[in-house]
Amino acid sequence: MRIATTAATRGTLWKQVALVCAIILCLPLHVARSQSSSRQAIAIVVNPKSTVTDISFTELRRIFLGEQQFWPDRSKITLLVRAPVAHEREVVLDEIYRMDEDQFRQYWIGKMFRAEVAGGPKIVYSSDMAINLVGVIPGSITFVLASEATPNARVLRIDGKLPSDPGYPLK
Amino acid sequence: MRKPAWLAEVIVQSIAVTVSILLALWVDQWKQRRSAQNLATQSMISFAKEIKQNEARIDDILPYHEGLRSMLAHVDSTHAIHTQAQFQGAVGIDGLRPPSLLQTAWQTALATGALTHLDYETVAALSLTYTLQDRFREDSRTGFQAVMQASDFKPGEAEMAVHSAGNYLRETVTSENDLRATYAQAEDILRKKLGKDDVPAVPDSTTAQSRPQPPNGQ
Repeated sequence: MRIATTAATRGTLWKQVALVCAIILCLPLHVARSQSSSRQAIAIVVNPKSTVTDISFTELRRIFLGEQQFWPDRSKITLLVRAPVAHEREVVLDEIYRMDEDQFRQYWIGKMFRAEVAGGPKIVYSSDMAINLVGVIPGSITFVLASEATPNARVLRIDGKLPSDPGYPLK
Repeated sequence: MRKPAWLAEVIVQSIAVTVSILLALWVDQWKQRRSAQNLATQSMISFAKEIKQNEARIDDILPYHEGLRSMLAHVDSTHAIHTQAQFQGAVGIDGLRPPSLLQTAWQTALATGALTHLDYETVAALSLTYTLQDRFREDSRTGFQAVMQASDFKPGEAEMAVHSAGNYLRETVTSENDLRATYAQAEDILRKKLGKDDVPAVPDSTTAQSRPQPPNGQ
């Protein structure tokens, strides 16, 4: 009876050890995957009819901050921004706006209140929606994961660099 | 027979008092007229500024709504949406919201009685503008609620929601275009009444100064 109980306890112990080992072995893989997704570059996409192909990071910031509302060809810029929680939005808020969600909200409310802009950025809920809309709205600009940019969307170079190039600022 | 000196003095003084009273009344009336004129001008400047801002808000949202409408038409024809998640991902709900339009100038003019100092043509144009704006707001609210209800569908019944959103956007885009044309008319009337120099510029880059001009002077 005692021997049987000890054997059962040992069996459970081995199972627990095996589970811990499996977790330890899988952990680096999971970390690597999550790092690769967080390091994925964000592509800035514009309407295919746009004449702009290259943009400086400073100009990009001015556009996203609503300080520049027209393209050099004088067409109106329509800014499309992903709804909260999307990874792309977090990157853009960090790298371009340098704001958190609350600051971002306050920023646009303030701009509208001072009548510096007629409206805030327009919301999109998925990469597909962003790409589809940017394709039909003249002068529009948005951002998607570089891997999700389709050939019918024009990806802008930032300071001469594409998302796949080293030194691309939106990674 | 000579009139007594005191009588002449009384007559002169009476005339002086009457003239003074009349002058005081005239000055008071002139001041009131001037104040009413200032109120009317101030009110028209506020109207011009507010209408310009509202027009800019419509100009800002219109391309987005047109884009959504065109996207929905494509989705409707391809029957690509089956679930609520797909509907939300393809269309969203918040994006369908109408723009918030201002009516502070109208309410202030009603509260201060400034409208009574404006001419009939201006009041009629402003009244029409704000009535249409109110109707747009009411129609949009009702339509948006209908889309919200329709978007709460069971799997496989997405067609209704897509149709509802499509209809709502078609009507919204039409109303936005109508409203924009109405704003342009009201602006014209106000510009004529105020004179070009008095029409205020809205301090954003959607004003006439920075609005894109058609290329080659077309």
